Amino acid sequence: MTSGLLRRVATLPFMLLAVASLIFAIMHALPGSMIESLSAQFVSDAQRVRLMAGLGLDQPLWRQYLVYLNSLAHFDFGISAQTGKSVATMIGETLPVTMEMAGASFVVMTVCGLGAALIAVHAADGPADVAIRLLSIILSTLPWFWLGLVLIMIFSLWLGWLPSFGRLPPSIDYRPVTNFVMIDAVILGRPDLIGPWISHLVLPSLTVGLTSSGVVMRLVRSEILATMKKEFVLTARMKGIGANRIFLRHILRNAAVGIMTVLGAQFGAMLGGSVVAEVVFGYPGIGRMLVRAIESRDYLTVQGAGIAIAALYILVNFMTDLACLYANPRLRDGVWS
Amino acid sequence: MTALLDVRALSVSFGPGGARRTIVDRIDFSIGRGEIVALVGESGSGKSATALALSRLNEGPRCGYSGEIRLSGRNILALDHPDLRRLRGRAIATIFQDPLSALNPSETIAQQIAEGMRAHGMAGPDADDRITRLLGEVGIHDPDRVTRAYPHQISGGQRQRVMIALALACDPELLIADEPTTALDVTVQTQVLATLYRAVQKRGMSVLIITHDMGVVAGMADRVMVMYGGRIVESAPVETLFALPRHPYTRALLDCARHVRDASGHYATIPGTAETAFALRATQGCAFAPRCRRARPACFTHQPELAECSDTGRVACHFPLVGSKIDG
Amino acid sequence: MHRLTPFAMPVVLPWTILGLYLAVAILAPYIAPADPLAATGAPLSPLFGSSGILGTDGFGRDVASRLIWGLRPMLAVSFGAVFLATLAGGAYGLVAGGIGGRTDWLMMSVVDVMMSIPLILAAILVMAALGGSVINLIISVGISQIPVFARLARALASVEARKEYVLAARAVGLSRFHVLVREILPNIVRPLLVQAGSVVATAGLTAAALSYLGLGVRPPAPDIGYMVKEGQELIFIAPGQTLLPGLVLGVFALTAALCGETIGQERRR
Ligand SMILES: Nc1ncnc2c1ncn2[C@@H]1O[C@H](COP(=O)(O)OP(=O)(O)O)[C@@H](O)[C@H]1O
Ligand SMILES: [Mg+2]
Repeated sequence: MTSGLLRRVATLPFMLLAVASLIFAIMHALPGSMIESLSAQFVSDAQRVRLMAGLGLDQPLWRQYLVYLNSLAHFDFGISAQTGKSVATMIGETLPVTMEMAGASFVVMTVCGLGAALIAVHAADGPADVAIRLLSIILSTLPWFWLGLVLIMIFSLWLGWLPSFGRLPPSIDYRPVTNFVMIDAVILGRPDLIGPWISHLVLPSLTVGLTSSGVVMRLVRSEILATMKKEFVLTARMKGIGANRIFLRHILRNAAVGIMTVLGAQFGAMLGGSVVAEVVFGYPGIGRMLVRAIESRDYLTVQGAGIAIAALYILVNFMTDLACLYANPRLRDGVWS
Repeated sequence: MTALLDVRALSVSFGPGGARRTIVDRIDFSIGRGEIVALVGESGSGKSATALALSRLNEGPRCGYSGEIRLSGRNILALDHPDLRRLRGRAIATIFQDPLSALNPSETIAQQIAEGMRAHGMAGPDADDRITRLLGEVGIHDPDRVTRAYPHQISGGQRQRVMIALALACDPELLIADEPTTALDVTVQTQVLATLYRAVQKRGMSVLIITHDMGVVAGMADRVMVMYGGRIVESAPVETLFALPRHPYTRALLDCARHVRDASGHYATIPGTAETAFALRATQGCAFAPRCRRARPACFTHQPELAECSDTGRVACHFPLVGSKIDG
Repeated sequence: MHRLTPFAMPVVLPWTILGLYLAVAILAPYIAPADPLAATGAPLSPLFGSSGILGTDGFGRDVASRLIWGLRPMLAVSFGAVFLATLAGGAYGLVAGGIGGRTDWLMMSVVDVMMSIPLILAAILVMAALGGSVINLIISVGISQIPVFARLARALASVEARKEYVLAARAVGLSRFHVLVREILPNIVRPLLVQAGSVVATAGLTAAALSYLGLGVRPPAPDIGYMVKEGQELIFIAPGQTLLPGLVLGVFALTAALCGETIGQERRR
C-alpha cells in the first residue's frame, strides 16, 4: 500500500516546483515577452526603468528566478499593477469562484458522460449506442464558448428563465467570508444566497460540463466494453453469479481506475474550458481575472493566476491518483502492468 | 449406469447473422459418473468452444447452440437464466487456462472463493475455515496469507491452485479443466496436475480435461476423445487408444508425441495445417482428408459419422486403421 | 470495399466538406463578394438583403466576406499547429524512446511537467507572451499539443527499440541516428498521423477560443473566433452575428474530427 502512495506523494512538490519554473520561463524567456509588451505602454524611458526596477526586472535572470521562488514559497505573488491589491488576495477571492464552477461542471460532465456511457454499453452496437457515439463527437467538437452564447440566447433572452451574467445578482448583499457561497450561506445563516447562486451557475456549468462529457462518454464506454471481455468476467459467470452483481462488482469495479483516470484527465480540459466560459458569462473567477490582467498587461497578476490554475490542476491530478491507488491493489504495490 | 453428462448433436456457431461459422459440428459424447475424460486435438479444433458450451458460457448475440446437453437428464440448453445460474459453479465448474487473467485483480482470493459459495447458499458461518482448508488441500502451504492476498501477490502455480479451489468450492458434479497447466512453468505443471487428480479422485467427480499433453492423458484419463475441425473423430478408453489408434489423425498425434521417426529419420509431423479443416467441411468430405495419407476419393465427398468400431471405441473414418502400422 | 455500402455516406461527406472549406479559403480573393475590411453597407443589414446575402456586421462590413476570409487563419492555425506539434513532439519522443535510459526519463519528466498545465492555459500564457498573430497562434497552440505527441512517439519508439531488427541494426554497428531515423521512425509514423488527424479539431477550437479572448488574430483582420466575440456584444439585437461564425467553426471542428476518425479506422483494419 505505502510504496505506491509514498512515491506519488513525493512527486507532488517537484511537480509544483517544475510547473512554477515553466511558467516563469514562459513569462521571462520567450522572445518579445510580457515585459516588452508591458513597457510599450510607457512613453518615457525613465518611467520604464523605474517600473522594471520596481518589479525587479533589471536583475539578472537567475536572480529574478530565485527571488520568484522565494516569494512563491511565502505565497507572495506581488502587487497587481491594475488594482493595487496583492495578487495573493485576488487569487483568494477568485479561485474559490472558479472551483465552484469547475465543481459544478464536473458534476454535469460526470453525470452526462457516465450516464450516456452506461446506456451505450447496455445497447452495444444498437441504435442508441450509435446515437451516443455521434452525440459524443458532436459534443466534443462544439465550440463551447459559442455554445454558452447560444444557451444565453435560449434560456436568458428568449425564455427568460436563467440569468446570463455574473455570480450573484448585484441587488444581493453578500460579504464573503470563505468566498465559497455554499459555505458562507451556512456560516452567515443566509439560505437566500443559494437559490440565486445556483441559477447563475446553471448555464456556465452546463456549457463546460456538456462539452467535456463527449470525450468521457467515448472513453468510459470503451473502457467498460474492454473490461467486459476480460476472462475474470467469465470466471464470475462460471461461479453462477447474477448479471447485475457481475456488472457492479467485477466489471465496473475493475473499470473504475480507467474511468477515474479519464475523469481526472478530462478535468484539465474542463478547467481550461471554464477559464474561457468565465469570460463568456462574466463569471468573476480566476480565468476572467487572468484574461483581464493580460489585457491590461498586469504581468504579476498573469503570473499568479497561471500558477494558481496549474496548481489546482496538479492537486486534482494528485487526488485522482490517490483514488486510483485506493481502487487498484496492483497499483498500490507499484505493479503497473 | 446412466451417464452424468450426455451430449447429443451439439453444434456451436459464432459470428453475426449472415456470416455464422459452425465451430463445433454436431458432436455426440457422454461422461459417466466419476469418469475422467480427456479431450485432445490441435489448437483451433473447437475444444474450448465445446467446454464453454457445456455451461453456456460462450452464449451471446454472436454465439448460438443447437442439439442437447443433458446433465443428469436435464437439458441445459433449455434452462432459463435463474436455473442456469444455479447450475453454474454448483453442478458444473470450469478451470481456465490462464489463472492470472481468470482471477479478478481487485479482490482478494478469499473474497473470490466466498462469492461463489454465497451465490449457492453454501457460505455459512464456517466459510472462512472451509476456504482455508480447501486451499490447504490444493497444496497451498500458507493458506492464511493467500486468502488475504490479491492475485498478483501470489505465484503462477499458486494462482492455478486457487483456481482449482475456486472450482471445487461448491462440490460440482462435473469439473471441466481447459488446458489447466499450459500457462504454468514446466516444473510446476506436474505438481498442479497431481493436486487436481487427487482432489477429484477423493470426491469421485466427473472430469473433462482438455490438454495437449499425451502424458497427462495417459496418466490421468479413463477415456480419450480426439477432436479435429469441430468434430469428434475418435473416442476410446485410454489403453485401447494408445495401443490401437483407429483414426489416422489420432495415430499422427501419437506419433508426434512419441517423437517417432519415419524411414528417412525425420520426426513425425502432420502435413499441412488445421486451417483447411473448416474450409473443407463445407464441401461435405472428411475434414482431415486433405492432410491424410490414406485419403481416397470417397473421403472428399462423404463425411464419415462417428460409429462403433469395437465394444468400447468409436471412430469417424471410412477406412480406419486396423493394425498398429500405417500402410501407405 | 464495404465502404460503398451504408457506410459510404459518413466517410465521403466529411472529406467533401473539409475539401470545400479548404477550397473556399484558398479561393477567398475570388469568391468573397466584398472587401472584408471595408464598410459596404449600413451596419447590421439583414440577411439576404441588398448588401450581401449574409448582411453586414456592426461596422457595416460584409459578413459573408468576413466569414470567407476568416477561414484562412482558422485553417492555417488548425493544420499548422498540428503539423508543428507532430513534427516537434514526434522527434522529441522518438529520441527519448529510441535512446532510452536516463535521457528518456529526463526528457519525459519535462513532458510530464508540460502536461500538468491545462492545455488552453499553456496556450493563453504563451500567446500573452508572444502577442497576437497567426504565426504566434500556430506556435502557442502547437506547443500546447506537443506533449501528447511526444508521449505517443516515445511509447511507440521504446517498443520498437527493443525489437530484434533494431538490436540487429545496432549490432552491425549502424549509428544511433541511422537507427532512429531509418529503422524506428518508419514504424511509428502511421500512429502519429492518426493522432494528428484526431487533434485538428481541438487545435481549431483552441485557436478560436484564444481569438475569442482577444489573444489571437489582431482586429480588424477577419477571424472566426473574434467574430463570435464581436457578435456577443450585439447578441440582443442581432443574434446572427454570433450564430453564423459559431456554426462555421463548429461544422469545421466536427468535420475535421470525423475525417480524423476515418484515418484511425483505416489503420485498424
Ligand atoms: N467468441 C468467438 N467468436 C468467434 N470465433 C470464435 C470464438 N471462440 C472461438 N472461435 C473460433 O473457434 C475456433 C475454435 O476455437 P477454440 O474452441 O478456442 O479452439 P481450441 O480450444 O481447440 O484451441 C477457432 O477457429 C476460433 O477462431
Ligand atoms: Mg482452447
